[in-house]
Amino acid sequence: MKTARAPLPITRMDLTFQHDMPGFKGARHFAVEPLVEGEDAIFARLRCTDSIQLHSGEILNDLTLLVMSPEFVWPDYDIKISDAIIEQLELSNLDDMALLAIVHPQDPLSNSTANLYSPIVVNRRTGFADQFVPGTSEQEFGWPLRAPFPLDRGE
Amino acid sequence: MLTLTREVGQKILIGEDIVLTVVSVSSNGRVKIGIEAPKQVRIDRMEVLDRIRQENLDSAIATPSSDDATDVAAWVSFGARRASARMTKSDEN
Repeated sequence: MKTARAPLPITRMDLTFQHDMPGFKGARHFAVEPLVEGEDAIFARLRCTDSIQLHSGEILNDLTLLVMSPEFVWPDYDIKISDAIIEQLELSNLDDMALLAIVHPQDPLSNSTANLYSPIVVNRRTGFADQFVPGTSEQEFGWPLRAPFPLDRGE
Repeated sequence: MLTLTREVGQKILIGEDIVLTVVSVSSNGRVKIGIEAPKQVRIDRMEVLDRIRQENLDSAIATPSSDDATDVAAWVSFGARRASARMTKSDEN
């Protein structure tokens, strides 16, 4: 199923992952908290409300990621998600779907990247979500794990 | 690690309902494996999953967890500028 769509502002909601977020054992419940609300809600904090375990065995109680609505910055963002994830998230109606890309902040901010290879797929109606793990390499997939943001004018 | 020797067409059963089949072995050493498993079992290529795990971890480490107002303002303005830079660029095309 193809996902190209108009930019979707992020709204405040609670997510329940069907599988642990990769890298974080036990990470199933998240709160989506937009940095600003309304039409310009491009970025949000994704705060995990579970106590999680890293693969090193370390326990983490405050996992927070920065996520974004990718279509605001990459209007042609279009991925083919698997039937398995569509079924598990009960996404029979594509209008219920939203994608969130995890941002990798850098100093300066202009060096930050977004993970367009493995977005979080969300059912906005139910709050079911999962991070999509492609069955193909980055090159075949067409969107990188560390996508640089487009240059600002004057940079 | 348990190591089993199998021939093409032979199967391995894991637990109650996961079946692996050796489909083919090519001369350059590539092995094609068929997997039958319940839908809720996630099947991923390990090297792909490992890269995503690492990127998730690196992104989490680089993300401040506090609700710093300066940080929020910086991101909001960064996002707005990048979105408009992109729009302008696609208008020109």
